[in-house]
Amino acid sequence: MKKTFALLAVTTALSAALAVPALADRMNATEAQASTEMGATRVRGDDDDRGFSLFRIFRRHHDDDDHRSGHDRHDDDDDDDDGYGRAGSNAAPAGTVPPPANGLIGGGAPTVRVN
Amino acid sequence: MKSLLAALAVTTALTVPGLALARPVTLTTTMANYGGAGAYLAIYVTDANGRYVGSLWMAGGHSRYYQHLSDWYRATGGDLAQINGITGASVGAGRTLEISFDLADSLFDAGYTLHIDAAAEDMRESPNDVSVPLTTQGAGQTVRGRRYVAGFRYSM
Repeated sequence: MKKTFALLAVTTALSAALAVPALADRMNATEAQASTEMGATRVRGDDDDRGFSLFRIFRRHHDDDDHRSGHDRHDDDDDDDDGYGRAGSNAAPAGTVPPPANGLIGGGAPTVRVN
Repeated sequence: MKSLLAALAVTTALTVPGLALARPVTLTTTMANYGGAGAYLAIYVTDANGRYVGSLWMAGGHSRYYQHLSDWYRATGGDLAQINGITGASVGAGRTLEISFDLADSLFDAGYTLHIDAAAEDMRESPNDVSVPLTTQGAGQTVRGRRYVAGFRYSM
C-alpha cells in the first residue's frame, strides 16, 4: 500500500513539473494569437502594468533568455532615466522629502528648471 | 490681544535670524555638446582643507551609476542620505540646469569650494569638472568646465 502511495506521489510530482511549463507556453501562444487577431501591437513595457501570475513568471523567464542571447542588458537601463527615484535603492527625488540637514540648504526643496 | 502680540513677537524673532543666515542662490550649469546621453552631475561643497562638507544637488536618479562620479563617491561612499530630496534627472548635452535655493551665508568668503563631478554613459568620467571658490565677488561670473560642463555660474 505504501509503495502504491509513493509511486502515486512521484508520478503526480512529475506530471505537475511537466504540465506547468507546457501550460504556460500554451497560454503564451493563446495570448499571442489573440493579439494578432485583434491587430494589436503590444509594447513590451505594457507588461509591467498587468497583474502578477504564474503565467507571467514563465513568460518573463523566456524574455530574459532572449535578452541575454541578443542584447546587452545594460541597454535597458538607458531607457528609464526619467523614472529616477522609483526603486527603493535610489535617492528620494527633490520635492518628495526635505533636503538633507547638512547646514548648507535652507528654505525647503530647491526649485529646478532645465532648458 | 496680549497673547497674539506675544506670539507675533516670538515668530518674528525666530524668523529674522533665519533670513539673515541664508541667501537665495541660483546655480546655472550649461552642458557642452559632448554628443552622448544625459550626464550625471554631483554638485557638492568642500571646506578650506578640501574636506567634503555636503551635497547641493545630484542630477541622475540611478544610484548604480554614482560610482562614476568618483570624487563625490569617494567622499560619501555613495551614501544616499546625502542626496535625498536634492536629486533630479540627468542633464542632456547642450541643456542648461538651473537650481535655486537658499544657501547658508557662512558658505561665502570662508574658503569653501563648489565642485561638480560629471559622467556620461560610455564616455570618460570627469571628476571635478568644475571647481569654483564660493565668494561674493565670484557671483555672476561664468566658469568653464573641463569636459562636460560648458559653463557654470552662481548668482545671488
